[in-house]
Amino acid sequence: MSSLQERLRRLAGRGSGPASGRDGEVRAGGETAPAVGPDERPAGGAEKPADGPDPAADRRPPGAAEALPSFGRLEETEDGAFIVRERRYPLNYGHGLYVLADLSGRHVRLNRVSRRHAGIRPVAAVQDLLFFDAETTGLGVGAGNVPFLIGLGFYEGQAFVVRQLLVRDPGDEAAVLLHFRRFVRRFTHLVTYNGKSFDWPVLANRFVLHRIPPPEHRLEHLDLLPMSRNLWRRSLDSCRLSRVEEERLGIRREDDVPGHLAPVLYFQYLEDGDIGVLEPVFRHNERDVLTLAALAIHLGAVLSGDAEWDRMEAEDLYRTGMWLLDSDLPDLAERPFAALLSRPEEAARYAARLAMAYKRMRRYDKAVPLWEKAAGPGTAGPRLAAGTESLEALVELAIYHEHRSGQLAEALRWTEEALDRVERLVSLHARMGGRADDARTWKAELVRRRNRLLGKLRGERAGKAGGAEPAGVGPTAAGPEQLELDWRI
Amino acid sequence: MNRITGKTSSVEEWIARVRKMPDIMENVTHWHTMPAREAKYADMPPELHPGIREALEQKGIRRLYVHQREAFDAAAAGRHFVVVTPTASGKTLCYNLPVLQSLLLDPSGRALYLFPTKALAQDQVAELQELVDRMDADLKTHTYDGDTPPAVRQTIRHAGHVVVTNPDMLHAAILPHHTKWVKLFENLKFVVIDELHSYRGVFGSHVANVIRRLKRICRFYGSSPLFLCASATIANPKEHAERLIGEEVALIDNNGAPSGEKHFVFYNPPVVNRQLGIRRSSLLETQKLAASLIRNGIQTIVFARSRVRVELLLTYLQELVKHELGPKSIRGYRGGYLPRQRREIERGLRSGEIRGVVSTNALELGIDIGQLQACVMNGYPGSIASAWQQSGRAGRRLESSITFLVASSNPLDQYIIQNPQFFFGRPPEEARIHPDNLLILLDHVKCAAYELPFETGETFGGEPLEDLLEFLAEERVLHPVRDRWHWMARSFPANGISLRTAAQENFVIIDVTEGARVIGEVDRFSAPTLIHEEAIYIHEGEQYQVEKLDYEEKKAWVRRVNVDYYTDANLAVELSVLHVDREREERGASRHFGEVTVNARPTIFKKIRLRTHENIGSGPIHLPEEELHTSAYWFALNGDVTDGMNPDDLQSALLGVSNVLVHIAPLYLMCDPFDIRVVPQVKSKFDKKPAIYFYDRYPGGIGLSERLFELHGELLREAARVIRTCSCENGCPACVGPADEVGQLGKARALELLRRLGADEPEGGRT
Repeated sequence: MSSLQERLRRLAGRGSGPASGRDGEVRAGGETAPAVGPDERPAGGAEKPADGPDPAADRRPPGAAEALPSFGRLEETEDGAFIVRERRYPLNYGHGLYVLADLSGRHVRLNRVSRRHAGIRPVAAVQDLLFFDAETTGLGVGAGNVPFLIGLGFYEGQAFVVRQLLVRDPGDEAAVLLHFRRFVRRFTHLVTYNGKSFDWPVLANRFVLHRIPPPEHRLEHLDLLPMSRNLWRRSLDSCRLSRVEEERLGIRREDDVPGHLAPVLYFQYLEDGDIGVLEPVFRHNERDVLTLAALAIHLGAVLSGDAEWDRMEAEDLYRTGMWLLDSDLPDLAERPFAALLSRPEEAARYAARLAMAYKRMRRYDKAVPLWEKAAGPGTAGPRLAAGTESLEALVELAIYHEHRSGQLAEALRWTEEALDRVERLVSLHARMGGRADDARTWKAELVRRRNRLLGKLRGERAGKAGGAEPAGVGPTAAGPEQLELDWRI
Repeated sequence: MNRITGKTSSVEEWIARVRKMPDIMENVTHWHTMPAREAKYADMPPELHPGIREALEQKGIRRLYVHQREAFDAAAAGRHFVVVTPTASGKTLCYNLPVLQSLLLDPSGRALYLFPTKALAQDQVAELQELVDRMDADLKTHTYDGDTPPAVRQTIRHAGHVVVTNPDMLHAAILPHHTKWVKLFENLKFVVIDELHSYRGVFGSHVANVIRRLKRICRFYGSSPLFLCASATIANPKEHAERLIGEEVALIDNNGAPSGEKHFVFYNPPVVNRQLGIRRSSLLETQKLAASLIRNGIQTIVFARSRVRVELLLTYLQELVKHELGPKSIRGYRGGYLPRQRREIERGLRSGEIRGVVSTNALELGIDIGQLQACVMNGYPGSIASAWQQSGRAGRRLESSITFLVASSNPLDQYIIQNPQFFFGRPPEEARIHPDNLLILLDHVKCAAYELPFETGETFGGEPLEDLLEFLAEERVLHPVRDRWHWMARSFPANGISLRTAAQENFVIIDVTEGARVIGEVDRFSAPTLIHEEAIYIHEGEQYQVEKLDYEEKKAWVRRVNVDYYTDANLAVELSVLHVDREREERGASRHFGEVTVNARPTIFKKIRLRTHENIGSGPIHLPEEELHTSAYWFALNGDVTDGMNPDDLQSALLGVSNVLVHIAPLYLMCDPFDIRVVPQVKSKFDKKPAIYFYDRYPGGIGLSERLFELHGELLREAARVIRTCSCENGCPACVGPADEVGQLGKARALELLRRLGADEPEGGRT
C-alpha cells in the first residue's frame, strides 16, 4: 500500500490499514480483481440459460463469479454484452382495474395527455407506443447518474412485452445504448412517468458521454406525470407512481423493493457479481412498466370520454372535468361533471366551482341553478363566514340577469342580496378585527351596480311609458365578456 | 471650482494646504509620492476586425496602451497570458479584444468568463454587451449564475457566445451537467479569469482543481481553450497563474496607462496614554480626514474593515456635512445592500453625484465606480496587495490623488505604520495555492469521476492519481472496470463540496436576542475556544454571550450582552510529528518541514476585564478533543543556543518570539492570520529540544508552513528588527506581547534568543 493511501486514510479519519468494509463485509483479498480485456473473454456463451458460473463473466472478483440470472439471457453484440430479461403478458392479463387489452381504442387521443399537444401526432396504433422506465444509480440529472436498468414495454402481436436491459458493468453501457437506439426505431411515441425531467435526460446524458448520437428519429414523448398530478394532486398525499397505482388503479404490490434501494443493490451486484440480488429490482422495474400501461389506459379512457366515472371520487370527477375543460375538450368535460351532479350531496360542495365551469362552457342552463344553490338559502344565509364563495355566486347571478337574461329586476334583487351579505361581512370583519378591505371593494362595486341597475330600470319604465324601445338593456348591449368583468374593475 | 459644492476642488491645492498643517503632519509617519506617468501607446493591430475598430473609435479609442496590444498579440500567437496592471488601466480590453476578434471571425466559437462574484460578472456583461451593440454583431453575452431563471438557462447553454459565471457555478452547476453544454465545450476557444489574485488560499486551491476538471471536460469534447487572465498586483502573478491553470503563461505587466501623481500617506493617531500605549481612535481620525476632503469637494472613498465600522463612519460623516451637502451625497456600500441599491451607488459615483462613499472591501474588487480623487483607509486592510488595490480606487489620469492609511491600535497596523519600508520596499504578497492538498484534491477527483470516468494513465493534479482512485474504490464510490474508474454512488459529489469554506464543517452562530438570526460561522477548529458555552463572542463589534453550544449539530445560540470583560480559553495543544519531509541545519537550530497531528482540547476559560486585563473569574469547558492532520514548519534550538538560559527565561523568550512571528508570518503569506498557528514548546515531544512550530490550520495543509520553512532566515531577522525597533519598554501587543504575558524581561530575552540564532544582525547575510 502506498504512503499516499496511508495519508489519505489518516486525513479521512479512517485509521491506518485497509478500509473496513461496509457493515463489516470482508472482501476477498481486500483488493480489486485485475482488469481483464475483452479479448481475453472466452467466446460463446451467448443466450446461455446458465445456472452456475458463466465463463463470460470473467471480470468479477475471484470467488464471486457472475451467474446469469435464471430469468434472463446474455445478449452479446459487437459493441459489448448486456443482460436481457423479457416477459410476455397475454392481453387479458389484469393489472389492477384494467386488463392490458383495454388500451386498444383508447390510445388514439393519448397525445393529449400533454397540454401542449399541438404538434404531437395522435397515436396510430398501440404497437407504436414504447413504455419506458429506468432505474438509475443516483438522483438528479447530472452526467454521473447511470441508468443501469432500462425497462421497456410494448404491444407485440397478442402480447404485451416487458423487455429489460441491464448494464452488466459500466464498461458495457455503450452496448445497451446502441441497442436502445436501434430498438426504438419501430415506435413513434415514448410513454413515461416524469420521463421528461428525469429518465429521458439521464439517458440522453449517457449518449453524449459515450459520444453516441441519440436515436435518429424523433419519438414523441408522452409524459403521464403532469396530467396525473393535475388530477390527483389534491386527493393524494403524493403523486409518486406507487401511490397512484395503489389508490387509483387498484394495483397492489407485494414484497416490492423500494425504488431508492435499487442503486444500493446494483452496487452490491457490481461488487460481488451475484446477479441474484438484482432480481427484486428487475421485478420492481417490470411492475413500473406494467403500471405505466395501466395508467395510460386510465388516462386514455378519460381522454376518450369512456372512463368509468361511477368509480371515481367526487374530487377526481371535478379535477378530471376541469382538466378536460382546460385542455380544450369541453364536450368530454361534461361527462365527469354530469357524473358529479348525479351525486347531489357531494355536488353541493362543488356548486360554485361547477357553475363557473359551466359558465366557461356557456352552459347557463346548468350554471344558474348551481349559482342559486351556491348563493345559499334566502337572505339569512347561515354560511356567512364561509367566505366569498356564496357572495361570488350572488354577483354572478346579478351579472347573468343584468346582461344575459335581461331581467333587470331579478338582477337588482340579487344585487341587493349581495349587498346585504357584504354589509354583514364588513361588520363581521370589524368585530373580528380582520381586514375588511376586500369586503369594502366588493361593496363599492355592488353599490355601483345597484345604481346602474336602478338607472336602467328607470329608463325602462320611462321607455315603456313613452312607448320607446328599451335602451341599453339586454344581452346584446355589449360584448358579454366585457360586461361580465365590469364589477371587478 | 466644483460645480456641485462651489468649493475649490483641486486635490493639489488641498494637499499643499495639508502639508502646512502641523496638527495633521505630526501624526504622519511617512509620506510617499509616486510621480505622474505618461501614457505609452501602441497602434491598433493591423488584423483587428474593422467592426471592433469602429466600435472603439466611437468610444474615442484610436490607439491601444502597450499592454493591451501585447495582450492581443499574445492571444493571437496562441499563448495563455496574465495581465497585471493597476486599477483603471484598461485591463478588460486586454481580454475582450482577442475574444471579440475571434468570435467575429468565427461565430461558432464560445468563451467562458469567470469572476469571483456575481456583481462583477454583471458589470462585465454590461461592458462587453455595450461594445458588441456598437458593432451591431449577433454575439450573445449572458451571465449564468444562481439568479438566472430556468427558462433562460437552456438558451444560454445553446446560444450564448460568451457565458459569464463564477467558479462556484462552474463547479456545481456546469461541469457536473456538461452533457447539456455540449455546444459550449465543443467550441470553447477562451477561458477568461479576471481578479486572478482573489483565487488564493483554500479557495484558490479549490478553483485550481475546478480548472483541472474544466480542462478535462474540454479535452473530452475536443477543445483546448486559451486562458486569458488578469490580476491585481501581486508578487508572483506568472507563477500563480501557472499553478492555477496548469499551463505556461505569458506575463504582461508593461503598463501603458497614464496616471497622475499619487501620494500615499501613513497616519498614526496620536498617543493619548503613553503608559498603556493607547492612541486616539482611528475612527475619529479617519472621519476627520475624510470630512475635510469631502468638504473641499474632493470625491473620496473610505474603506473600513467591518460592516459596523462602515455604518459608524457613514453616520458621522453624513452628520458632519449634512448642512453643506445633501444626505444622499455620502453613501455606504457593503455586502448586505440590495443589488439595485448597489447599482445606484455605483452610478452615482461614476457621475460624480455621490461625493463620498464608505465601503468594506466589497469595493476593492473591480466593480466599476470610475476613478475617485482620494482614499482613506481605516486600518490596514491586511495585505499589501489589498492596500494597493484600495488605494487604486483614487487616482485620475491627469490629476493628483491621495491615500491615507490610518492605523488602528492592533499590532499588525502598528507594525506596518512604523515600518513603511516593509510596505513600500517589497513587492506585494505572493498569492499561494496548494491544489494538491490531499483532501481538496480528493474532493475534486470525486467530482471529476462523476463527470467522466477516469482512465488508467490519466493524470489529475500532482499526486499519483491511481492511488487516489484506489482509495476511492475502497471507499466504494468508484468502481473499476478494465482500465476505467466509474462513479458508482448515489450522491452528487459537487453538492457536498463548497469552494469557499476553509474547514468543511462550520459552526453556525445564531443570535436569539430577537427571534433567531444567523449572524456568522466559525470553523470547526476555532469553535472550542471561541464559542464554548459562556464565551463572549464578538461579532462586528457587538458582544454576544454563548448560551448553548450544540456540538453535534454544530450550532451555537448566542444573546447580545453588554459586559466589561472578554473570555479567553486555554487550549491544551499537543503536537506530534508524523513525518519529516524536509530538514536543514542552521546556525544554532535545525529547521524542519513535515506532517504533524495537532490535538487540541479546551480546558478552562478565563474572564478578563477590558482595559485592565485583570482576571475576574474562570470556568471549565467540556468539549471533546479536536484532531487535525496538517503540515508544519518548525525550528528546534540546539544546546549551545540555550546555554545559560533557565527554563523560565527560555519560556518567555520562546513565547515572545512566537508572538512576534505570528504577526509577521501572515504578511509574508498573504493569508488570514487565523490560517497559520504558532506553538512554542520548551521541550518538544519530537526531539526533546525547545522548538517553535507553525502549522496550517486546514486539514492536509495548504502550503503556508512550507513557504515559511523557506523563509526561515528572513522571518527571524524581521522578528528581531521588529522587537529592536519597537518603542515600548518591555513588551507590548505590537511586538513580543504585553509584559504580564511574557514577563518583565520578555522583550530582552526574545531578542537575545534571536541574536544567538544569528538573526539580529545588520541587513544582508541571507541564509
